[in-house]
Amino acid sequence: MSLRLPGGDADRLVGRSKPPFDVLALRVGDDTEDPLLYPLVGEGPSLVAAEPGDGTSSRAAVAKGLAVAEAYPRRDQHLGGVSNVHIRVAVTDSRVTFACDKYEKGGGWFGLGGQGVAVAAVANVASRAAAARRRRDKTLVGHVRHSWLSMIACRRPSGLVGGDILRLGMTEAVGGNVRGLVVTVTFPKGIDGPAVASEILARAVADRLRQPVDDATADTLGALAMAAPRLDTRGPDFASVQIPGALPATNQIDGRLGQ
Amino acid sequence: MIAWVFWLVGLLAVVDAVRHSEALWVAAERNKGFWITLMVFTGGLGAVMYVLALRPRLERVAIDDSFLDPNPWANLTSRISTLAGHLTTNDR
Repeated sequence: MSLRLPGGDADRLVGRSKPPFDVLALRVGDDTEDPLLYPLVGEGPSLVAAEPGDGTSSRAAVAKGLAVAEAYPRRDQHLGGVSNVHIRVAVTDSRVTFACDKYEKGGGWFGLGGQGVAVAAVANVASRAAAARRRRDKTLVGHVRHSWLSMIACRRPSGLVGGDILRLGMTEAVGGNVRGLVVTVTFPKGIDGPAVASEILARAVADRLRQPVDDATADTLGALAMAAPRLDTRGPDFASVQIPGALPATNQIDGRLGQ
Repeated sequence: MIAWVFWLVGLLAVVDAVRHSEALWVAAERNKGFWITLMVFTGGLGAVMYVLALRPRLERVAIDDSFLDPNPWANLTSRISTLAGHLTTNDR
């Protein structure tokens, strides 16, 4: 399997025996390595192969940006991501999946005057063809399982431009050390970010309540399930909800995954 | 007369392009801002390209409407009131 993060150091993960888990990966062909950490490519609108735990009532959204960052108290460290592309987001009973088959588009050249426009047109065609060649047979995929989810946050930009932004917080312990990760999803205008956040929250809480949890966690989850809050995004900051009882992402079957 | 027809077609095409939600444009893998700018600056020519090549593509794209904003105009007015609130706060 070739694991690469677009926007990061492209090949830094290839050949590592214990790669850090960065949520996103490029799946090549019918590669099936690490299915717990990265979704398998499948047919259908979501581009992700269904798992038994996904249920039959998944809901889909369109996003135009996806970024993964390592969480730090003062400023998150960007690990990789894509922007201005068509990302298929699906919310299932067990996870939130992301997939993009045109993660690299090429183009972007422009010119002034007759000759400039002609040169830019040729450069754009060549650039798009090269991008199509590079991404052939590859799909950018990623997922956040509900059992990993520790925080959901959403913000609606106060300006007139820009779409809603969703943040999913989790921890991972794949490389041995535990570290926090934040997945940021940028929606185009017209997609109701708080509605997506509420759907993920409801399904994550339901997923966690199906597992054995201590009384305090069960009480908090029960309150969340009863309230089914829609995040109040009227303020300038992210509105967020903490979900207790999250497990760190690992490549070990912990008895709670894929149920 | 022909100029007026081109101008009208251009205007209608821009209105039609604005009417389609950005989510639909993203799903169709086309840039809404780029195409609207192109139509504004090239007038009828951009509009003809939009009508022949792009509009059928936008109509073909089927996206799950689960999370589409049911009332984008309410969203717009809420954004305007939020923005006005920020401006008022900053003025103090």
